Amino acid sequence: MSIVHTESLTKVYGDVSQPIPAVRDVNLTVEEGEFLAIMGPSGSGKSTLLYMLGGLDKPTSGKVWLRDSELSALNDDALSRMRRTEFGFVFQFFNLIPVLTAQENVAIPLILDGVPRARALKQADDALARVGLADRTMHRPTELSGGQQQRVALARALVTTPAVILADEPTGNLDSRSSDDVVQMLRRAVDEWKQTLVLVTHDSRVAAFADRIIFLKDGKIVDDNRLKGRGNADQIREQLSKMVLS
Amino acid sequence: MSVKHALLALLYHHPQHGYELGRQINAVVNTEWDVKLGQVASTLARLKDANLVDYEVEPTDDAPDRKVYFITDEGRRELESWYLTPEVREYRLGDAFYIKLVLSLLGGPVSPEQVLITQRRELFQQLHEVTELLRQADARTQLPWVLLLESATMHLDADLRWIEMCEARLNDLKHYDPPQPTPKPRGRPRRKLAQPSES
Ligand SMILES: Nc1ncnc2c1ncn2[C@@H]1O[C@H](COP(=O)(O)OP(=O)(O)O)[C@@H](O)[C@H]1O
Ligand SMILES: [Mg+2]
Repeated sequence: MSIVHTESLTKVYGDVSQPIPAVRDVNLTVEEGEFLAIMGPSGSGKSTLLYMLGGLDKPTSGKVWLRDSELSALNDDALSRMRRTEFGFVFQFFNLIPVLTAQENVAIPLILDGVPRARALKQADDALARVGLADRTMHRPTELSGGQQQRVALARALVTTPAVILADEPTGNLDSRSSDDVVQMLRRAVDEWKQTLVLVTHDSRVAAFADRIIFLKDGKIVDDNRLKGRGNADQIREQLSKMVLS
Repeated sequence: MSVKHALLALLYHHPQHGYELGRQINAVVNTEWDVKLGQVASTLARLKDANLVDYEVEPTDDAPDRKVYFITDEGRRELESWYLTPEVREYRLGDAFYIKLVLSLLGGPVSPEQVLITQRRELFQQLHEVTELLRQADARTQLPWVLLLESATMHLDADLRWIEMCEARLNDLKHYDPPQPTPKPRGRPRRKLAQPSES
């Protein structure tokens, strides 16, 4: 079933005299429970597309739906509520508040949404446990590694059980090992917790975890690549050992 | 891959019976590298002929007697020079995909863009599958397998980056004029006129 859907989605920056088209006529459907990666060269419109999907940026023309509500038709208040409850964001820079503990950082979206503090903190603990940080709840961001900070950011995105998680280069600031940790955690969020995930990356090793990859060029989708369901593991195993050991 | 040198490397440590050697190769090097016992036996025979290994006969209660192989001095020298000879990888300068891409630049039923996209899909599909195997593998009990998968991942990643580079430079590439083959003169070669000597 489709969860996010766009129709001729377009964003033009700049003014009439010098328009900068960032996203052009994008028709995209994201399926529920799908892990979608968006790839493309720098400046191809990946972030702009992602932000419009999550209501962080307004389209110049075209439409975005989340299930059956049209984001592009909501007023600012309704949109901001929608952002808080239906979307979880993860960015390249972890955007954690330095003076708060991991637990408090994760609890913020709940507290902003009117959940009583004690319950919010309890739910934050659960979310941190899910990303493997049960023993780090009282640490401040500076006391955590980059990979751990990004997992706190992921817990913060997961805690509201959003409809969709949107991640913009979530591993862009990490070494390859922490990057693996974070992307495995994202994969688990999809497999085990049935999250829908849209992730922007320029790292092919990260994109390889996705179920589907779309490629943007000059603001347009130039390829849509479904990765799931091909071959069987034993066959690949055999092929690989031939390839590398021959 | 060299069964010969694997056997020398194992015998370097201590003398062993052929059957144990076969099992050890598979265990030590990689469970995926399936060396048959027959291959071990025939390689040992060739090593013995070349004077790189020798054996002593160990009497057993039940016949036949066991041959216990050991490495000779010559074998040690051969092993050392094998370790010190770098392995040369093929750089695939006759790569099939490269040929396809270059030919598509001449114009034809499929654009070079599409040729690149098709290849990228395939590479991503493979990378996805290898990544899945990597996720299933246990680095504590299957480290060699994990390292092998890492190697495959890195190669696929390099191929993908190269595709990306080709895509980025496709416009320049389209203006590239393929060299025309110089026509071979037909018939009897004309006698060259004497050229004034160059200074
Ligand atoms: N706030 C902005 N004002 C003007 N131009 C912008 C703005 N944000 C992005 N752009 C332009 O839009 C295009 C797409 O940008 P972006 O979505 O950030 O690409 P990507 O994330 O793929 O690198 C680029 O040409 C960029 O310069
Ligand atoms: Mg960006």
